[in-house]
Amino acid sequence: MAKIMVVDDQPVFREAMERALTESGLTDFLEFVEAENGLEALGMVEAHDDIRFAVVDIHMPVMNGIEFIQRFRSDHASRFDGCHVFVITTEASRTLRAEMKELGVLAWLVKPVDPKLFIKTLQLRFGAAIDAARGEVASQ
Amino acid sequence: MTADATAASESTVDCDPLRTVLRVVQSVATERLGSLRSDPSRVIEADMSFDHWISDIRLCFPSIEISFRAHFTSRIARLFAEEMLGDDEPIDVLVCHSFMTEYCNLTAGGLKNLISDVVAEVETSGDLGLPERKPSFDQVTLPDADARQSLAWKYETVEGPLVCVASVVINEDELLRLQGLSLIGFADGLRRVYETPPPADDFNDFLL
Repeated sequence: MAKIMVVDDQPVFREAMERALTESGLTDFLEFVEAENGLEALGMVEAHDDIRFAVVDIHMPVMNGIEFIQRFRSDHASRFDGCHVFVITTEASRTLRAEMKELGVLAWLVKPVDPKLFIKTLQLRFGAAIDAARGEVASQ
Repeated sequence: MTADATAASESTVDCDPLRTVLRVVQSVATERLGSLRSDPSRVIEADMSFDHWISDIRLCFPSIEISFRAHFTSRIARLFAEEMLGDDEPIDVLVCHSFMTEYCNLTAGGLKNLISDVVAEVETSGDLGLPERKPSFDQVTLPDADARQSLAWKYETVEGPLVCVASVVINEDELLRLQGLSLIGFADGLRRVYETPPPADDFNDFLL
């Protein structure tokens, strides 16, 4: 099953995202996986070739979100190309946002962000990718 | 916990520029707390001697340092976590505590974003620390009522008070040297940025 990965050092944010995803019905065909820092997230990327969405925090211990995204893109280019990457963080640096946009990050959202609103917008804006994941499950 | 602390006010304007900065910190912290919050009020007395935790975070820039600390109990953390996550399913106590560290993170992030609109150096040379959570033990000392650089306040909840403390240290010489700003200029700029609605940001609005 295709996956959606949430990378954030705060369990309460990961929990909120998981509950919003489950409530939306997306977890019927997108498996929720989580990581509490960039290094764990890299391990996820190496272990799974079907992470289609990644929601990434910036300020995290061990490895921050910037380094994770850079290494995701450089070390796993094809998997990065097949993944929709979003940043949700308290950081609002215009410089960093511009750099990440250049790397292929699709959106940079400044917390607080309502997970339910984020999921609804994800469904509206990336319906094709979500439909593809739904189709994969249906065809199995 | 008994404390002499400073009266809180809804206004961000104060004759003392340090107090103005602290009022902005307080206002940002209040906004980030969600709908369960009460209005901030003077800390007089609160019993948090059992199950007393601290979550704190520090913002460091060459000329400005701000620390923000929340004193809470597990029951208060659960109250706010349930507001965020709902109470349909049980919530692990660590997830509840994580709400408070995330609360510190949101408050500090909001402050950094405000300060960066006043002090350009923040964009490149500032450091937003990671929030920490720890048992408080005997760390219950709150600032004196006449302390200029610190402010303490509380939010009443059905589970008791959530107590917050903010401290600000400003190196006026560095502020002037690096930014050409006086302390009064910085405080006034911060207050004005806080009170001005943020401009539309295309990149941020890309998805939502």
